[in-house]
Amino acid sequence: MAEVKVEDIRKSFGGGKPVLDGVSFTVADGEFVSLLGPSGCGKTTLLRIIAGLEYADSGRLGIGGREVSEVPPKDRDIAFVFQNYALYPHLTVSENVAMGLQLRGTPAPEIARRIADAAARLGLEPLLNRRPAALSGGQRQRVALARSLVREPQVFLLDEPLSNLDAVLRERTRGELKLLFKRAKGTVVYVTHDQVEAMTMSDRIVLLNEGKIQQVGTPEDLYRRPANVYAATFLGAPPMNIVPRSDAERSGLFPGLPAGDLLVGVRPEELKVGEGREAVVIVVEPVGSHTILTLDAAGASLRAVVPGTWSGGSTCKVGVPPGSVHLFDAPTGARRA
Amino acid sequence: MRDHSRAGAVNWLYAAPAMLFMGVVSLLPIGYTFGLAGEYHRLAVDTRFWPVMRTTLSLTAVTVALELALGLAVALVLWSPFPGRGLARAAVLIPWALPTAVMAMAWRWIFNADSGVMGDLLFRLGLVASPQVPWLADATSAFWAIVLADVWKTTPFMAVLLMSGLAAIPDELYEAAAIDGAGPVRRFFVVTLPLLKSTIVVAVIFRAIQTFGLFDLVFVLTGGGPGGRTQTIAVYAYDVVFRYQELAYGCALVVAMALCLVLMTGVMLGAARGGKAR
Amino acid sequence: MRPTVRGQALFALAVAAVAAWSLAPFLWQAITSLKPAAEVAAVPVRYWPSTLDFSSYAQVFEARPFATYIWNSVVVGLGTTALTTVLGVCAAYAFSRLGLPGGRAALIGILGLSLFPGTVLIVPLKMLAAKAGLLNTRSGLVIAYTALNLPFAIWVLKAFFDRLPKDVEEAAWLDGLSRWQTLWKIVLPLSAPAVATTAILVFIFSWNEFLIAQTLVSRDAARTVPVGIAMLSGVTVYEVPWGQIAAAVVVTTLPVVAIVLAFQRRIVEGLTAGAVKG
Repeated sequence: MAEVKVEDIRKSFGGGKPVLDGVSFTVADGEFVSLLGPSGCGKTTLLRIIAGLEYADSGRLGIGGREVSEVPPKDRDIAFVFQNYALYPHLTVSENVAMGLQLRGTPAPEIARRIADAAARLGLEPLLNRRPAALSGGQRQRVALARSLVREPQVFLLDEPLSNLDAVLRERTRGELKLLFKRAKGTVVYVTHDQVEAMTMSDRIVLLNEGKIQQVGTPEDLYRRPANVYAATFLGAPPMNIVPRSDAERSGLFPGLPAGDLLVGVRPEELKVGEGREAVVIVVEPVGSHTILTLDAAGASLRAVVPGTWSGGSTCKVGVPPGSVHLFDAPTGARRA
Repeated sequence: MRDHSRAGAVNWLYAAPAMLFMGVVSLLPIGYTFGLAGEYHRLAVDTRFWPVMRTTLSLTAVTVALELALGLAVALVLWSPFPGRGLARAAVLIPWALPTAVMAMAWRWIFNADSGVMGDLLFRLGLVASPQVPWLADATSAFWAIVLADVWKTTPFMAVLLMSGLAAIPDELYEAAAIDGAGPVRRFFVVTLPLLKSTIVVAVIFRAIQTFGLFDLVFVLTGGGPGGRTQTIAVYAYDVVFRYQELAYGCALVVAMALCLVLMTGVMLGAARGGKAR
Repeated sequence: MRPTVRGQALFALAVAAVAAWSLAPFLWQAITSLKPAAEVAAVPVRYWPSTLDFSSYAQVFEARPFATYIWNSVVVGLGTTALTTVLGVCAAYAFSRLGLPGGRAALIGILGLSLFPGTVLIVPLKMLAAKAGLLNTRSGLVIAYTALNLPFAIWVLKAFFDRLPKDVEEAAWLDGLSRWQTLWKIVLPLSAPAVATTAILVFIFSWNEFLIAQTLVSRDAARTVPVGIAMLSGVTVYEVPWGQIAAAVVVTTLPVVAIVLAFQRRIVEGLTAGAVKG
């Protein structure tokens, strides 16, 4: 049973603002959970606390049903994939991968078997005798992955493993990673700042900002029912349009708004262009498969997405389908109903 | 490089004064020494030459080995930040910064046969029978006195070199090793030592060259005694030229010393490369 | 990874031990220098003076022209530092920025040259100095020391210049400054830390130098401190004035200790920069 239980973890560095401010969540056995957020939100610190590379100021941590807050990393039955891979530069690929097993006294035939297995799965067979300096970035990343796989730990911890790859490689590797860990049947905690990665790979996402959890849920939850303005604008590209109540009313696109100090949200991809109220097209951004339009609807600035290229000129009609409107409480940013 | 229009020989003017100084004071005399040298045949019959070389080489080997071990220990202790590190580093640097010849006098006092504190300390610790030990009158203990004084002085330099090597090792490797299951001792052998190897090689070669040419310390601490048994090649050559006034042979000795140095360096570099090509 | 109390205590002990070992000889000299004359050579050894007696200091300055020696060392030190810095900056800048043809070979040659021990130079150097009328002069020492320190200075400064981003110099060029102006008005202010460090290290080397000072200067007028102290021992065979020597040692080394304490970080950086390139 490889459940990860994070309870009310707090951490500050040097008595300043807390990096982690009371974070709690649970990762179920075999689940793939992403810690998502911008740089500085605390996600890497949290991952390192789970690994035992840092210690929390307060709170509790459980792995596989065991309380591990004071247990050193090597005894937590975890594997960690570093952002910069942290390969031993003076050892060959197979020596790198074998290191953790050797230090634990695993018998040599078993080590050989596991290395062969991981090498086959990751396409590392021709590289086993090379040193990291002779490998490309993508190859080094796979070695780092192999190193974690052979340990067969309860929990895999990955610190932005794709961020050092170029965009093309990143796209390709995402799918491969997802499959790889599904087969490995471990619990995975994955840190990233890239929402597409989080959305495509995770069973659930923990969204963080400034050391606090903004929302925990499936990708679908976060997309369809964001818990606050932050979550609403973090996921989705281009981000959700957020309009203050006064502008929303003036635009005439949002009839029947309830009372109160509100922020109104609607996703660009859900706006219906071609029917509804008049709007001025201010910016046209063709992306190839679709086009992003920045519109001015009676003073309210909205972005919309239309398929293909835009041939419609400098004005258009835009409408808001019922059910695509999100309401947020203006002072707190929290979702309203 | 900007300034392609003005690149080239003209710019040597900037470096010219420096080159001139170095040429006149260093290059020229070296050439002279080679020119003045003669009577090479005496190297074969000189009964003092081989013992002196032996002394020099063993001094070099022992001192550098000790410096390396101690320097590494000091580097490991002083490298990560802790309150008061600045002060500790300053204290540790002081031996290196003090004039060798001057501190040699200080060491002579410490090793003084009648009132030296070394004898007294070891006597109080029960390690010697009497507090009055004629350290510098016995060839072996004099040798070790020199070793102690030299190691004391040069360990800081080694430590600084090694610290720069340590700083180049990414933290992540230690963390990966920790997660792989290595305790602090294992981490030293699996991460620190291998990655420090190139720095160690450079430091050792550098220090070996310097120790081989050791003069100040020996000259002032033992004068090459007792009976010339702690003479290094540099001290011997100096004696031959300035005391015995034998210019040609003295220069021949210096040439021999220089050649030995080159040979030694070559051997060490070869050994280092050989180790690397594993 | 979590520091334990026991671990921290052991660490503190290690640091204290290292610091104590580094300072002990110097401290022992300080203690010896403050003892009343009778207690200096007392048997058994006294570890603390009964009263603080400064008479050794007074005697040192009376017995030999010690104040002259110190002044000479200061003058030579400052002269060498100034000259080495100016020439070194120009040369290092040239090697770093000006694309000198044959520059790399020259640098390697310079480094190789600097590795030869002083012994190789002194005989011809003395002859050259004699011919130039520079024996027994401070200027002679300054010239010699400058040449000997330039390789190190150029090495360190070049390493620094290499790392300096070129944009500021390019902006200056677009604004119309000449090379020379760029070096002195723009680059130098930016390099102040590295230059300061180099200057400090050169001063220390110059203050500590023994062999060349011993060879080139045989008269008190230009004698420097390290040689002066080494001579103190030879007054008579039996009555070696250890208290005075201790006082002399303290006076000589105190400035260096002060410099090290004040500039510890710079010194480490300077040595490291030199080392990394090696």
